[in-house]
Amino acid sequence: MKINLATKNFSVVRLLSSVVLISLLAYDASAREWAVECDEDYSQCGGSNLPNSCDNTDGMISEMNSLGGWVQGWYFKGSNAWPQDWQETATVNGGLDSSYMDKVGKADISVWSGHGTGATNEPNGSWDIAMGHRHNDVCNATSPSSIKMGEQTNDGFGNDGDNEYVVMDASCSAIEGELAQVWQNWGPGILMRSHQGLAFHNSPDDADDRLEEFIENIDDGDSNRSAWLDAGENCFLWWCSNSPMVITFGANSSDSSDRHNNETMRSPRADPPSGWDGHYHWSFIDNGSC
Amino acid sequence: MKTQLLRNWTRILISFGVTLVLTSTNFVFALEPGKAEVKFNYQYERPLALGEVSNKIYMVVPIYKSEHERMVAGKRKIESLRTALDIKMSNDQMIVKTDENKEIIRVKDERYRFKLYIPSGMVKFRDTRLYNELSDKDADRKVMTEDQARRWARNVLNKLISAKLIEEDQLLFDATRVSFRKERSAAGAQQGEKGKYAPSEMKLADVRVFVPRTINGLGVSGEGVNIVFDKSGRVAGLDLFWRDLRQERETLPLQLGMNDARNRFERSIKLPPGSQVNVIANDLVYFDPSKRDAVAFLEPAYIFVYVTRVPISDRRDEYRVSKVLHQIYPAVEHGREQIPSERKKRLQEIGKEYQMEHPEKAEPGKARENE
Repeated sequence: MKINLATKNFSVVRLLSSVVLISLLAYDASAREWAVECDEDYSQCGGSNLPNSCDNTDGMISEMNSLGGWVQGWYFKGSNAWPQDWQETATVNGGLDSSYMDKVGKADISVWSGHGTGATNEPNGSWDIAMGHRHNDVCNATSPSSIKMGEQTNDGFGNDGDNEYVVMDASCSAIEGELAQVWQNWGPGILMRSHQGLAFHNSPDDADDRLEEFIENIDDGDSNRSAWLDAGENCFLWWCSNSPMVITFGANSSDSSDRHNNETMRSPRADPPSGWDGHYHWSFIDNGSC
Repeated sequence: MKTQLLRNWTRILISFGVTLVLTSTNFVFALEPGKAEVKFNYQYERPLALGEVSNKIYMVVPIYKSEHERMVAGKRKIESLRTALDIKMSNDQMIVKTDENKEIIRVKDERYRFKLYIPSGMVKFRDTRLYNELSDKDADRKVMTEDQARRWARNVLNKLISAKLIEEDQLLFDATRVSFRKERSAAGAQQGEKGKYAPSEMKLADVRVFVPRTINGLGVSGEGVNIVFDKSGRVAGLDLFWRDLRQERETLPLQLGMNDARNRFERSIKLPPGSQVNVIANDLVYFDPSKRDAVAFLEPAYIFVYVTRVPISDRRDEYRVSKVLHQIYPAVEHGREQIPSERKKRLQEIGKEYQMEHPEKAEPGKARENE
């Protein structure tokens, strides 16, 4: 009898262990990670300080739990936010994106909140993340020359990316006339197999709650596209000043359109777009350019 | 001879004096490179409909003081907005949810969503079916023109006025701004392909009309009504960024003029030579800090809204471009304290929490280089 009980207990334990193991595996398979960087102090690399840049990301991560299935990958602020974190490991000397902002298992959404760059004559086919702190004498990470996100299989650039969504909460980060070079694979730009880029066609305001609003909108049922366009626009004094932009990549026109209209961080699509070829759709609210 | 000598000495002394003055001027400029070298571009034109600024300013304060009062008033506002827009929500599917920080109340069903920011009483409405509508739906239908959009917005505003949600005399309809959501697509490149990039024609997907709020001839920064119309002219979204405010009886004299405010602003900018400061707006306003914060009053202040462009040293004609920043300079002496932002406190705690959990941030670089 004792033996039978023990056997029975053992079976129950085995069964429970299996359930726990399967649950853990399922959780791992569905879990997504956020990787966030921001800077407010620009005394080292140059530029105005941005008093709300990291409040903006703090607000975002305070909401991420509400989405379910998202966990922390990285959160680097100030001197811990390095341009190399975004630079392609395989092709840029000192590039560390495969360790940080495009690292497998750490960076399904990668966010930059800070300055960007612009030129006298835009579009000029190039844009930079402009960091506040220098690391190894570098202050900027440039697209298309050094940022490639989500590359896999036979795309090149190490084929070791993982990212799905890229947020560039910074000035001039998605000027409509240079999307081909900066974001699309004509550069090739940022979206190698990342699904979407969420950025700005002009200079957004230094808001402290834009990213929080974005996540709240997704939690409320919006697609990524609607959530970003809604959160990105800001009406201030006599006009609405921001021009939020969403760029979506798909295997073909139909896939790109479907992703653009429906993809949501509540349940991200598991299948990545094609690395080369493929199709892009983009939407923006036109409140002016850089 | 003596006269000649005296003349020469006088010349020497004058030229020494001039050199001294020029040197000290240069020294002063060298001490304030931002003042000497930074270029300020003022681009703002005040809406004509506002008229002259008075030198007597009324303080404007919120009607509802306590959190409870704000919550009750906010819920009432949602009901009024629902009625005004003729939104019929499904009672059996309707969810009313207050977030754990008591900053937001959401009232929603499977189609409609109202989001109330409790501290300010501001409300966002979304018809999620229309707002999220597939961008290629009704592809052949064109969105309304700017003039049509203004007329449709006027109709919606009239409903809000009838429902006492906004006041006609506080709408600056002459300063209405119209913008569009635009959409496009393009095929990607095959590996190594160059030069055949051919994006589709740009399409307009919806139209947005923003009507700002004014009180006593001053703009209320951060407040107004923004309406999103779909291609059929239906209201897909409406932001009612409009606190319930009352004006106090007494006026306060202006203590600061625009010229003084402008001097203070320019002196505050510390940027390297060659930088540009593009001032998008500089005006006397009632300043509303955030839809997510409660206030004791709206500060009457000179606001400077601007973008800075700092040259990148090793690149020609390229700049580090800031986000849109603002600075305010209070225009009257009122001796009152603003309510500290509960949200800022909460965010600081979150920042600290992540700082403690992740020691790599406490010692920059060290933990990461060991990865």
